[in-house]
Amino acid sequence: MLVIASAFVLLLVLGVPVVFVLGASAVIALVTTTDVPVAIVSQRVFAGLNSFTLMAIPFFVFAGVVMDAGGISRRIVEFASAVIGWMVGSLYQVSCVAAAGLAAISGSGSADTAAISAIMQPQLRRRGYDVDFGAALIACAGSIAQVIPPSLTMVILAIVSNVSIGALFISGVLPGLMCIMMLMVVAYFQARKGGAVYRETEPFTMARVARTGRAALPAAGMPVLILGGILGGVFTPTEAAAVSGFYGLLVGLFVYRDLDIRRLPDLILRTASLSAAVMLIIGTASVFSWLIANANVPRILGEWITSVSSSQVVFLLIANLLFLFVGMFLETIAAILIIVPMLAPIALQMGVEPVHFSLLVILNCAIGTVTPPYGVSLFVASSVAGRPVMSVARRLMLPLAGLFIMLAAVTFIPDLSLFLPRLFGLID
Amino acid sequence: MARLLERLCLALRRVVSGVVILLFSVMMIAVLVQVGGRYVFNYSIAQAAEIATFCQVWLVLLGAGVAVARGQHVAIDMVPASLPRPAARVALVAIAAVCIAFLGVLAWGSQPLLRMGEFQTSPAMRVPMKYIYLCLPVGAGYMVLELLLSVLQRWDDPFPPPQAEDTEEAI
Amino acid sequence: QDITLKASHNANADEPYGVGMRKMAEILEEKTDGEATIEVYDNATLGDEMESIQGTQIGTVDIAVTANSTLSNFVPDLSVFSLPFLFEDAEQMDRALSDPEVIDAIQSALDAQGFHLLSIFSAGTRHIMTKTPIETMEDMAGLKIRTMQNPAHVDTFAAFGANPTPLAYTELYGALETGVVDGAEAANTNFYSQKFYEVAPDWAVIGWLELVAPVIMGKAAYEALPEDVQAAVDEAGMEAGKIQRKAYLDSDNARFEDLEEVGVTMTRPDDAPFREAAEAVQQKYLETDAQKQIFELLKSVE
Ligand code: NA
Ligand code: NA
Repeated sequence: MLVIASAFVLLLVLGVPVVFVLGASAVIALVTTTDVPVAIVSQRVFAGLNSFTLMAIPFFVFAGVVMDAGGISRRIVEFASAVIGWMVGSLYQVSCVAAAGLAAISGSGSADTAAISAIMQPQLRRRGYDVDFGAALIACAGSIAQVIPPSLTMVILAIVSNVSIGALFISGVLPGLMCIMMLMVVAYFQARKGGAVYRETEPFTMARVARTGRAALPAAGMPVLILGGILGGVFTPTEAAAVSGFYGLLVGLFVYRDLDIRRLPDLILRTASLSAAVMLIIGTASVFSWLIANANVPRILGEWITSVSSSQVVFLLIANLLFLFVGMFLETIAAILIIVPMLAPIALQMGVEPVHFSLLVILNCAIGTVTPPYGVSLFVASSVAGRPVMSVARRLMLPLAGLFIMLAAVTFIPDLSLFLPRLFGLID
Repeated sequence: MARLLERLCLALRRVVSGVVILLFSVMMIAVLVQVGGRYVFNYSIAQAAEIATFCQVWLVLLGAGVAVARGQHVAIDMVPASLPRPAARVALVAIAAVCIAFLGVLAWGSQPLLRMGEFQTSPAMRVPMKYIYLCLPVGAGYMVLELLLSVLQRWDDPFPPPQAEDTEEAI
Repeated sequence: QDITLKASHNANADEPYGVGMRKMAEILEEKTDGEATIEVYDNATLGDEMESIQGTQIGTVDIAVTANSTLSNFVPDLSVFSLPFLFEDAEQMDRALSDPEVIDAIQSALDAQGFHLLSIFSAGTRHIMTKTPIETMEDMAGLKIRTMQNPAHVDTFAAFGANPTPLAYTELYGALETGVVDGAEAANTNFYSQKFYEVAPDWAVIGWLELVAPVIMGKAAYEALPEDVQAAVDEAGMEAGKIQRKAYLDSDNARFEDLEEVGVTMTRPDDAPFREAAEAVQQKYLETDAQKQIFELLKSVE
């Protein structure tokens, strides 16, 4: 373990891409601590990718890419601004609501963060808002795209822990929306403390809501297609992803017409390289998780945790703390592939409903993309804002506190995540 | 030498990009056909899922090389970026060396799989699995080329500050 | 010097594979006075079935318990075991799989691809779950039935008149729930433990397939063992196999009561038309001489 940990940290700090940090430190640990042939590396990388269910990832990425190229982000921001622009700190509020809207289309927290930042940051700057707080807020709101379906992280987690993707998707709806509302509350208090710039708002008119709503309507078809299709038994989740990609393409080409068919090969290539970057991490992280299983770590950890306490509450607290800690340093997918196989069997043994546990993991992962020192959403939000990571990180305190409160709520009130899946009969 | 590498790599990149676009298209069409087949013709095509899955495996290994070219593999380069240029160059080379070493292991370790792939067939289409396992050495080889080229191209400015456009690419 | 063999399988520790492997470990330890032991890794922690099979060649796993259909991709002759109604029933299967001649024939098929057979576990007698009761084979007409991604299984259900729909096992519950498929085939144990009866409450007890799971080692790893350990491993394999198959049958039968208790509607359709339909599939898939030989040997055991 010490070998893995030190190799890992050293390579990460040196600036080696995360996907190769995982691969290389696994190889080092393999060679120095076991007599297992290195062919296991190739085998695990292949096996990690040889999955039909995983295909939801490139398809959801494609849907996001074509919808974005079709101008969907702009239309969602305009609609959000028509609905909520009258509030104090309107730009913050619009950012949050738009992030939620985009989350229902995008499966990736950092893509969502990038899209919202790109549109909102210039406005924040122009209107004299606190840009650092804005970036921190957008990073948090954007990261919630992983909690609101569709979600690439959920697809991966569902495969790893063998829960139904449909049930996990729907379990994220309430907690995700509540996180967004929590961020809006935080933003409201922050804005009220601020100067006159924050009180500059836009008047609310029904006409504007209707006009921008109509423009954003085709986007609303996406969640209907995905969740409706899965819940209604029309598609499996992977198929729903493919259909939503196709739908996004049609909307971009024929409804918004911002998308030129000649750009299609380019968008596909972008989809492919974005998803390949994510999915290769799944491959290299599976080498890691094999090593951990081989060293019998899950059993040892399980025995330790059950020896500390047999209470569910204590276990969930330990699990949350462990995930938050790991999430500070580790990339999301790697964290899931490494930690979940250790904790999921214990959760089951403790009688935690698997969907509830999985959603806690997802929420922790979302928070992990924001927490320094390593957080993709934080990096994206800072760099689009053109601000140093550290100054944005300093303004994270309040939004993060909001998310922690939500995490606690979801931990101790299982119904927040389980009510909807039960309503639709996806779990008992 | 550097020129040659650049030309080779760029030519290869065009081919690989074309293949990747084709793979994604086949993958998506196969899944859509599967859905359509079930509802329109009330018949499911067992091969469709397998074709799609194998396209995906190749797509990831080749696409990861394209991602190297586009700088899409996320890294934390705050430390090396703060180094003076000579030291930064050392870091640049060291990073590439670590990546290439890993890719070497990946390619080398695929030999037993390729040997098994001679007689192991896929469940639905019954094609020899060696054609699928081949993505490992091929993908690793292409990534190595792209890594070498990126070292050359970044020699004068090893760790440029992130551009806003770049980060939109991060997932 | 002590020998520890790593065994990998994809089920829970207390399910038949895990129970069988632990039995094998116990017998082996007894026979070798503790010189050789088996460490069982449950729940696919060392990799799924395909990886475990590969692992026996690469050297990452010593013993793999794998569904026959997965191993058939490496050893095509084994696809005989994917044929419908291959055995009379579970008892006849047990006798056939203990027969030395049968074992020799299977052993030589495996040997050619670098594997060594230790045992053949049972993975249960497969029946059919649906959302509407199956009284006769006609009731199968047009139903979308989930099968494994195995050509013989697909053809079998087509021959039964259904519309075979291969799906990932992980997607099955949801697919039944929402009506993507109308039914699936499974053993009592899976049907009960995965709670499929909640979404497909009709259970046609037909026993269309005896699913088997060969337990294998890599040939090279096997031959590297001292000769006395080789013999002990082989014996432990055969003995544990016999016990495992009996245990599976008992626990499978015990599930009938549980199923009744949770309100499953059971039907026992006449299997004659099913067996007749299956015959054409059997003929289609008996391609090589080795396959025909194994098939005839299995049939010849009383
Ligand atoms: Na989302
Ligand atoms: Na973090």
